[in-house]
This record gives sequence, structure tokens and C-alpha cells, in this order.
Amino acid sequence: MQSKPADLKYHLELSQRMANIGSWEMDLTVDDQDAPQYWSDETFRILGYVPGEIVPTYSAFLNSVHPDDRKEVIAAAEESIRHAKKYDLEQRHLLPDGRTIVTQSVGEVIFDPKTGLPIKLCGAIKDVTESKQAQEALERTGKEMQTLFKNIDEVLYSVDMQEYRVLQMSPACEKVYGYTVQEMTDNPLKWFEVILEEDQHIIHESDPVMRRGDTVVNEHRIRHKDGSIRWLGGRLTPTLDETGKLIRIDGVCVDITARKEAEQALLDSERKYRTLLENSSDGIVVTDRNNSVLFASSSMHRITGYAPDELPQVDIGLLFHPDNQDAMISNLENLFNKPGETARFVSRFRRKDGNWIWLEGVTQNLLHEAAVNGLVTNFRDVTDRIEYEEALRAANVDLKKTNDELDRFVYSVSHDLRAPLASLSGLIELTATETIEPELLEYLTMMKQSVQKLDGFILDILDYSRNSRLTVNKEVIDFHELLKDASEHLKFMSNERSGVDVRWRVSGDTPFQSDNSRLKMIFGNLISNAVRYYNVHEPQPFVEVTVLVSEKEAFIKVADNGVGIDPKLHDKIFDMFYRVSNKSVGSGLGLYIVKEAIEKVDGTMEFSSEPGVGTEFRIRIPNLTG
Amino acid sequence: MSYKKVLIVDDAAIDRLLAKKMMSKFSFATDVHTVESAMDALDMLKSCTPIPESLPELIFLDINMPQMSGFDFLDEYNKLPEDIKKKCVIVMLSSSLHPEDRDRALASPYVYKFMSKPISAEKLSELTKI
Repeated sequence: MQSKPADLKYHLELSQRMANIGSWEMDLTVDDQDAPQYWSDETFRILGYVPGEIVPTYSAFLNSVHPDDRKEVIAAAEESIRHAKKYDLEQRHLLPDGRTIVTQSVGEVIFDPKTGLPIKLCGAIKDVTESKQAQEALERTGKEMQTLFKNIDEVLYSVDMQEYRVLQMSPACEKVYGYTVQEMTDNPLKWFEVILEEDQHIIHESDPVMRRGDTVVNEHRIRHKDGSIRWLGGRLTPTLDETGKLIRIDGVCVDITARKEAEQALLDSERKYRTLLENSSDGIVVTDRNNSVLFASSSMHRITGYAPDELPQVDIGLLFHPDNQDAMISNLENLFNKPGETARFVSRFRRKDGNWIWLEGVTQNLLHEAAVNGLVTNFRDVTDRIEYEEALRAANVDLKKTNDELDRFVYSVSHDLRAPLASLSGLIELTATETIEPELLEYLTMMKQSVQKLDGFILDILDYSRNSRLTVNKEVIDFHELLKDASEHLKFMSNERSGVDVRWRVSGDTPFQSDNSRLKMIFGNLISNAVRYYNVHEPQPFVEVTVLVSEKEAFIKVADNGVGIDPKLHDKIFDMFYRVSNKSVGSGLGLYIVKEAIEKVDGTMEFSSEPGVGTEFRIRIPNLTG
Repeated sequence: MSYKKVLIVDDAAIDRLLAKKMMSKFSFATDVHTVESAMDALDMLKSCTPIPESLPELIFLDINMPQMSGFDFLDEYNKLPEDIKKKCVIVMLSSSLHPEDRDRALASPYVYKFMSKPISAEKLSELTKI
């Protein structure tokens, strides 16, 4: 039992204001839209009026409805009246102060109990603008989340751990794993099966952690559906129920292959350079401006005898030989202000055991490189090499002396051998002028030929000796002079030339440099040979030398119409002491010397010859000018 | 036209004989004087100084000689009075094959020619006085 309230109308007003719900009543017996109706105070307020400010009419209500919604409102009201139906509708209103609001109206028709005719439409109205907006915002957010879920590169998933069922998984799994959401959901263990066997322990290890309720972060490799190996990074957040049982896992996993590969590449690179550094036979040392050692490779210890921990206390500059110290120090000081510059050095260095060794190296100023911040010196022990070079230099001096002596000796010997031959030759000639006795003259000619043969032999031995021993000179060559000389001093021959026409043509006025004495040997022997082996059946025997000089080389052709060389002998004629027959008057050294001399001046030679037609030598000698 | 006086400086007796015989055979010179050393040659030239007509027009000089070589002779010859040097022409005659010898000889302003031994009619004809 309770007492009756003093004023029910007051209670109603209060309730309406608190709930923001207005009520209204429309008399259906009066067919006039402008007839006064009943609006509760809250209805006035919802529609933007002070209670009682206007006369509440159906047309006033319709006027407040947004023009676009008006038709619908009218239709709903008519429908309700006609079919005695409740109605429930949302509509927009344009308020007098310009605001737009959304209201929800519910209405009910009241019928006359006697006639059964509708007499009133009673309803309530509520401002639902805010909740409407909130709902829209929620829907929008939901849609955005959906889009995000579908499009992000990370795989988001939730797993029901009681039924072991994948509740949801974002479509990125198709990219990350290669399997569709369907495939991943159908087989809830798929995600585990694709993990490389050697990485599966990572997952096993995270299991107890999650069962304690802690988030797990891990990295592991999987085999993608396309067969490639991918690195994944995952973060799993467990949810426990009130009894502490794991019921759900929410996780995110992302493909970190690129990052992993970059990290690996960096590691590999670091390892590679460290290995190179430590295994290099060269010593590598990094020093600062005070010549203190910041870093020394292990080979530094091997070369200098100083262990890495002894070095920071040592002024490395003072370990160089006093004779080299000033140069070393000024070398380094020069470098200090030149970032990136390098300087070479060769200097004696005192090992820890007191022995002096020779170091050769290169120092580069890398003070400006933040990763180095010092002078980097690569060096090696060149003691053996320097000593060897010294010995070689001394040996070379000796050798040169010996060579010079030998050269003088060869000249002396050749002179002493030739002098009596010259006397003999002169006497033979003189004797020949004293007689007209044919037999005697024939003997004298034979004597002269023998003397000449011997003389030619001495000349060849001299050429051979000089060609093999002497260094190659670079001097300006006058081909005309050389050819003139060669044609005037034919070897193994009396002065008459058997009527052989020796002619030459030199073209190209480019300066030419090579070794004069070698060229002299080449021309002398080839021209002498051509004249000596002329063809007696040839009415106009000749030897023709063509020289074509260019910046690159001299092309020399020595052609004759002599007896030619039997093809069977072509590969023998350049052999040492090879003579074609006993009738050959030479030493058998001529073409051998030609071949050797051409090799000395880096030239090439080819030849063609046909018996009875002639022989042609083609020689190319590089031009040493420039 | 032959030379009036020619001097042959050679330590080898055969070569002196040969030169002398060849020259007389081909009437190369009227007076062929021979000495067996460079010192004798210098003495002879100095002794001729008072009578310039007695100086040889042509001197055949060997290179390889004991004590004083042909080149040593040239150094001493350089010190002689201009009167003598103006009158004489030197021909080097040697069996040396050393290119240096030839170059060194021709580098001297007093050497007209370098000839290799033996002396022959052909070579003499190259020197025939015009």
C-alpha cells in the first residue's frame, strides 16, 4: 500500500523532462490541421519552443518536420489511423533556431468504445539526435576497422583455445603465408605446420609463457606456399579466464624477411671483413693524431712482436729507424689535414725483440669517417724483399761490370783475330798485282775467299755475342744509312757483287726509334744472303728492300729473285749453325742471328720462298718513339 | 794527281809494308813515310814544323797500338800548333769493329775518314787527290 501522489500531472512533467520524452494528442474528430491540439511541455522543448509559445497544431508539427521527411510522416500517420496501427518513425526536424534534430515518434490510435471510430492519435516524441550520431560514428568506425583489417600487411588473428578454432584471421595471411583465410581456418594447425622444423621449438617455448598470461614476441621462419622461406615476426596476447585457463589468443604476425636479410647481410659483411682483416698477412693498424694505437690486427703482433694490449702505450712513430723517422712524421703530419688522402712509406722498424725489419705500407687519413676516426695503415714486412733487392742490385752491378768487360774482351779478341786476317788479305791483293800467272791468280783468289770466310765468321760470332748480351737501345734509326752500310759491307764475299742489283725504298717520314745494332745485323745478314744466293740463270738478279715506317712500327720487306729455299728446309734455316749445303760459304749463324735480333727488338718475321723464283722476308719492328 | 807526302802510323810491320807497297804500286804518293808508334809520329810532325812543306798531307793512323793508341795520338795532336793541323788530314785505319771506335774517331775534327783494314786499291781510290 502506498499513498496517492498529490499531483500526478507534476510527476508526469518531471518524468518527461528527465527522460527527454514529450507526449502529444491529436483530435481526429476535427478535420482541421490548424485546430489546437495537446503538446506536453517537453514536446514544445524538443521542437524548439518554450512551452506554450505557439498554438500546438498538426500543421505546426508538420512544419517543423524536415521537408524531405514530411511526406513519409504524413503517410505513416494516415496509415496508422486507417488501419488502427501503432506507428514508430524517425524523422528530421528543422528547429526555429536553425538546428536539425532527429526525433523518434511512436503513436497509437484511440477508438470510441461505442462507435468504434478513431477519435484520437496519442504519441510520444524523443530527441534521438545524439544517439543517432553516436551510432553512425560507431558504424563508421566499424567499417574503417574492417577496411584496415582487410588491407593491412600484418596478419591479425584470434584463436579460441578451448575448441582450438580460428575465430578470425585477416586476409594478409594470403600474402604472408600464401594460404587463404579459408585454408588457414579449415586447418587450424596450418600456421604451425608451415614453420620450419628447426624453428618450431620457438613456438613450444612460448606456450608456457602464454599460459601464464604473458604476451609473447617471437621471430621464426616459415615455408611459404610458393616454397620460399620467409621470416615472420609475431606478437601473441593471451586471454585467461577467471580460473587462469588460457581461452583465447589474439595475435599479429608480419613478414620480416627483408629486415632479416638486411640484418644477415650486415652480419655476413661484418664477419667477412673481420675474417679478411684477421687473416690478412698484411698488418693493419689504426692510430690517432698522437700516433697511439686504437686498433691493431692480429698480424700486427706477428710482424712487430707487440701484443695488441701493449700497443696503446707505445708511440708508434718512435719505433721507426732514426734515419726514417723525420720522413715518417712529416708524412703523417701532411696527412692530418687531408681527409681521405693516402701516403706510402718504406721504413725500417724496430721489432719488440730489438731486430730491425723493413716495413712497407700505405696510410690513409680516415679521421673524418665516424666509424674509423683514425689513420689506417696497411703494412707488410718487406725485409726479405729489400735485402733481396739489395743483393740483386749488387749482383746487377757486378753483372754489368762483367758484361762490359766481356764486351770489351769480345771486341779485343775480334780485333786481334781480324788484324792479321786484314794484313793477309792485303798481302794477297798485293801479290795478285805482281803476277799474271793464271794458276797463281786462282790460288790467290782461293786464299782470299778463305780469309774472307774466316773474317765473316768472326763478324758473326761478334754479332751473336753482342745480340745475346747487350741491352736493347732506343735510338733514332736512319734506314737509308743502315741500308747503304749493309749493301757496302756484304759478308763472306769478295767485293764484286755478281751483278746483283741491291736497291731499297724507304717511305714514311715518321721518326723511328729502335736498336740500331740489331737492325744492322738484320739487314746485313738478309741482304748478304740474298746477294750470295742469287740465281745465275736470272738475267737481272736483284734484292729489293722496302721499308714502310709508321708511328706504330716499321714494316720491312726484303725480296729477291734468287735461288729460293727448298720448302723442306723452311723450318730449319733459322737453326743455329744450320747450313743448307757444304757449298754454303757462311757460318750458319746468319739467319739465327736475324731471328734472335728480331726477338730482342720485339719484332715479328715471316717469310715465303720458292726455289727458282725467289725469297721474301716480311718483318715488323715496333717503333719505340714516344 | 798524287799526294806528295803521306805518313803511315802503324805498329804492325806487315801493315806498314803493305800500305807502302800499295801506295807505290798505284802511285798514290811520292813520299810514303812510315813510323811504328804514335810517339814517333808526333816527333816527326814536330821536327817538320820549321819546314812546313815537309809535313805530310795525309796521315794513316792505326788505333790499336802499344803505349800510345791512335786516340791518345789525337789528343796530343790537338795540342800541336795550328800551322801543322791546317796542313794535315788524318785517316783512321783499323780492323776494329767496335762502333764506339768509329764514332769516336769521326767525332774528332781532324779525322777525315774511318777505314777498315786492309788497305786496298779500291779504298785508296776513294782518297785520290782531286
